Order: sequence, then structure tokens, then C-alpha cells
Amino acid sequence: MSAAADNGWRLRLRALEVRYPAEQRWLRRPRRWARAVDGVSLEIPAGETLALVGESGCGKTTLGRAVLGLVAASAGEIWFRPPEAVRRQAPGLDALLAGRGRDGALDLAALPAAAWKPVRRALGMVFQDPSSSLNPRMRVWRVVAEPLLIHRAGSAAALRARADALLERVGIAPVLGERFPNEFSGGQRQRIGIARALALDPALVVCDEPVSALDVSVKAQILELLLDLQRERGLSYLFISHDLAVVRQIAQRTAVMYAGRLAEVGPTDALFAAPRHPYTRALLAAVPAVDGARAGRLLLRGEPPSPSAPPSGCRFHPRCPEAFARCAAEEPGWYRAGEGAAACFLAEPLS
Amino acid sequence: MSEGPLLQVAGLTLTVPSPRGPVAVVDRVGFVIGRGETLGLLGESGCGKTLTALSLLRLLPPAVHLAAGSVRFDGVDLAALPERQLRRYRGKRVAMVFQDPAAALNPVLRVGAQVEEVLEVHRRLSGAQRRREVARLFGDVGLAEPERSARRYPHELSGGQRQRVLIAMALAGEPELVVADEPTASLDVTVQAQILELFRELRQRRGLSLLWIGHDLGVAASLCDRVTILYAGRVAETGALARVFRQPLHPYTQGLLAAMPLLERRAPPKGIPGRVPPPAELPEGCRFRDRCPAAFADCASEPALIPAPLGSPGQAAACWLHATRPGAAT
Repeated sequence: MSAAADNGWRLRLRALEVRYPAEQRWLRRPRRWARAVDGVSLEIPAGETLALVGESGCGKTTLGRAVLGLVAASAGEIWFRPPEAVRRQAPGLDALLAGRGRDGALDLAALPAAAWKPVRRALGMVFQDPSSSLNPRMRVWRVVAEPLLIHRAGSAAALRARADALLERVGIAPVLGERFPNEFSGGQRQRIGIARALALDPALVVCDEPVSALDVSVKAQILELLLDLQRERGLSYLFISHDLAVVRQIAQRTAVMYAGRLAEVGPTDALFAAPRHPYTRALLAAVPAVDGARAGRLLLRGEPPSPSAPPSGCRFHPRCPEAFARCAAEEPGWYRAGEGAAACFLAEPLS
Repeated sequence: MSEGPLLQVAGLTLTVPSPRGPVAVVDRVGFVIGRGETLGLLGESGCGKTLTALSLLRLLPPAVHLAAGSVRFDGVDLAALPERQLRRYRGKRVAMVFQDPAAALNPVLRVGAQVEEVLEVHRRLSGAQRRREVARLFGDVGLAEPERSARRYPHELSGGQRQRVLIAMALAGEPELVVADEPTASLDVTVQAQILELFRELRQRRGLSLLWIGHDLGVAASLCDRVTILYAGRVAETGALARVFRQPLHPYTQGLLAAMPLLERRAPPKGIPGRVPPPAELPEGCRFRDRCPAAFADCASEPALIPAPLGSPGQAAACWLHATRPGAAT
């Protein structure tokens, strides 16, 4: 029973919405809202990686932060199903599930702030910039051990031993634990950030552009590490990135986001081989290739819209090379597209 | 205008002070750019590519010292030119486009006025002429409604539009050579594709020569005729783009290409073990040898730039593996 649950989804978003006031008026309701995330539904299976790709401002980072409870969801549901092992380790999680859970899962969007603590240890986060996300005045073994300290997971000696083991696992010699973050290179700092994210044995890790700030030769090392750790620990990743070539290497499934909405979702290999949404096609065509093959094909005009004033109908229609009248008037629903689905009238089956 | 290449850099050496004496962060770097040609100067962070670019017009930060080398532009050595005369080149015959368009623009001046400044200094145009010229330049770089765009402040523009303003500013002096330091690194892919297209177009239309500084091999491939790969302050390999990317000679270039994640297929990229040594920890001999899978005894002494033995005009690698040995040539 519980084994079956462990093999199902780890995270399921239902019509998630995050909005910010776009025009704040003192002591009054905002006149307009910017919907950074506007009705997104998706699922991450246990032990798998879902990549969320899109350009800056598309809402991918906000979505990741909402999953972690760092910004509040304005509407929709965020169901998280912790695996058996995590439930055993995190005190209070079982009680929480018994009280508010449904089918072994919790709706994080409905969870009051006071109830978050046992959940938080089951969720990890790896940030983009390893130099600003590590406390510069803390020795790195403490950086790694801090989450354990906060969750009172063990004695002082046990903490140090655990930090050393984590550092060793991510490829940092434990003797270097006495040093400070600025004594490490960017790639090493990202390893330390990963060790910290894993300190409490999370089941789901939100990785927000974890390799974007790194040089090519180091980028590949960190991707290898993330893949190894996933295999070893059955982690699920929500991998947020603008780099499609990186996503290709790490994610089983990919979701393409544009102006707060999903444009296309599907198995990564199928989606990259035969993209159905014109935005996905343009995005893929814009990635420069070493052999120069794609240079200059399918150039998009303009830039993404502001989330406070999205266009009518399909949000991509003003930039879409294939847009027709219906795209401006009506919002496309989801249509089957190969092995995935696309929010585009062109993917609509002919009746 | 004399014959020969437009830019010829030789023996360029830049040092920074350290407790153990000056360290060469750029060490005897040389390259050539022909008229109308685009050269990519490529490498990872800390390889010295940006310092090399800045040194061409002597824009180096105070701690970095130009210790040796020549920068011959159209026959004149800019490295030896007095400051007053160098000003006739800076921004006029040689212009720069920087990486971060937000930091390179003055936030309290309208962008049109910032471009007009260049026109005033270098081309002595009157007010009305300047405004007409700004509109023309903005149109050239693909800014919609050029007159209206000119009245905007930098924060009212998107990243891509700001980069277009900077390119217009670089073109304002009618330069023969543009030095572009990762001008698309902070842009989204679809906007990056637009800016790359703009560079290709400008090159064709104006016969510009371009020195492209970057770390992204894919971007370089879509733009450059030739490339020079730097590692830890030294030239590792140089040659025609297609040659170097298809048949890299230096193990570092090979590693760099293998480390690139590919869009076309799922093939776990292989990282290069270790990291670029910081200036204080540079090894003797070949600077790549501690990370090199093919290192052998000879690597303890410094390799010269060794031309490829067969064909490939202009391809050369600083690697002992390619030194001619008896029986190597056919």
C-alpha cells in the first residue's frame, strides 16, 4: 500500500496561482494584479526530474518558491506526498498527515505557517548563485550542519560527523570543512550548497538554475553529481532552468512556461524531438549549436509580455509566427501533442 | 590605411601584484584579426579574456599592469601610444560593447543623449544632426520607433533593448573594429538570438571587424570565422572555427567541447576534473597539465604554440602531443 504510494507522484500542482499587487494603493485593494503563476497544473513522479523551462519573468522561479512555501499561493493546490522513509524521520509529519492529509499527501497551499516545520525538512532547495546563498561568515561544515541544528537532529559530535559525510559525498574533502565559503571556487561552493540541501534527507529538491552560474567544464561535474544523488536517494527534482541543453541531460519530463502559464508539457526526449507549441519550437531554435546548424532559424520578434498586462487569448499570440484570429480572442485549452500536451489551437485534433 | 591585418596582438602580458612578485594573468597572448573578420576569444572565467579585451584600449583596472606586448591596430602600436593620441582610437576606430547593459548605461540620462555624447566627441555633429544620427543608428540596431526610444531612460527599456542601445553607441563613432565582451550573456535565448542576428547583419552591412569575447562555444559557432581558446592566461589553441570545433587538437579544447551539454541528444556531458588554478597556484610548464587526461613527462616544461602537422592552415595548439616526432608526418 505504502510502497504503491511511494511509486506514484511526489508533487502535484492543481491550477496553482501566485499573484502580486501590480499597483499598490495605500490601505486599499490593489487596482491590478500581476499573475506571476497563472493556473499551472503539473506532476512530478517519485524519483524523477521535471524541468521547468522558460525565459526570465515567465514565473518559473515564483512557482518553485511557492512549492517551498516561500511565497504564498493565491489559489490552487500544491499536493506533496512524502515517502515512507521521510515520514519515519520527520517528527510530527505523521500527525500532520493524519489530521490534514488525503491519500498520504498534504496540500501545502492550505498549510498554515505554524504547521510547516515538519514538512520543510522533506523539501530541499539548491540556489543559482552559490556565492550569495552561503553565509560568508560561517565555516562550511556549519553551513552544511545548520539545517540539522535547526531541526535538532542529533548531538554536536553527530552533527559534525554528518556534515563531514555530506561534504565527502559531494566531493569536498572533510578537512576543508574548517574553511569559509569564499575560499572555494564557484563549482565547489555549489557542491557545498547541494550538501546543505541534502542535510535533512529531503524527498523533493527544488533546483533553481543550479548550474547557470558555472563554467562549462564545472557545469558538467555538478550535473553528474545531481544525477548520482538522485539515483542513490530516489530524490525528485523540480529543475528550474532557462538552459535547454542542460535540461535535456537531466529531466525525464519537461514543462515549458510562458508568461505565467504552461505552453507545453511532455517527456523530454519527445518534446525536444518534436516540439508542438510554436513557443517551444522557437525556444529550441534559438539555442546556438556548436556546429552552427540552427543559426538564424525561426527568429522571434519582441519580448515576453509583462505579467501585469498579459495579452488576450493565447499569451504568446503577439509573438507567434503562426497566430491566427482565434488565438487573440480565445484562450487555448490543452490538446494532446505527441506523448505530451500543448496549449495551442494548432495541436487541436481535427474534428 | 595600410595593408595587412587590422589588429595584430603579440606577446601581450598582463600582471597583477602578489606576495611572491608579479603574476602573469595574461601570458604572452597573441592573435590577429583580418579586415572584416570575426575572431572569437574564448575561455572560462579567469582565463584572461576580458582583461585582454580591456588592455587593447588600455582600460585595465589599476591593479593590472601591461608588462609587455604590442597591440598593432592598422599598423600603429596602441600599447605604446601616449594617452592623448589613444583617445583618437578609443570609441572612434575601436569601440567596445560590454556584457552588462544595465551597468554600462547612465541611469539618469536619456539613452539618446548618451549616444549623442559619442557623436559630439568623435564626430563633432551639431545638435540637430546628432538627433537625426541617433534616430538613424537606433533604426539600424532594430529599436522600434527610434525617436521615441531615444527619449527613454535605461530603466524603461528591457535588457535586449538596452543592449541594442549599447551597440548603437559603439557604432556611433563609425568604428572599424568592435570588441564585444559577452554582450548576450545576460539575455534570454530568444533575445540573444536577435542580438546575434544583429551582429551578423552589421558585419555584413558595414564590413565591421569583430573581436568576440565569450565562454559559450555555441554562440561563438554562430558568429566567428576563427577562434582562439585561452586557458589560465595562455593561448591553448587557435584556428579556423570549423577546424577547431570539429578536430580540436588541445586536450583542453577537447574537454571543453565534451563538457557541453547537447540539445540534440541525451549524452551525459563529461566535466573536466578539477578547476582552473587561481593565479597564485599556477603549475610550472603547461598550465593545464594537472587536469589533463593525456599529460606526460614533457608537460613539465612549457609548450610553444605548435601548428598542426597536416593541412589546417592556421590551426595551432600549445601542446606537446602535437610536437612533430619522427614518423608522425606522412
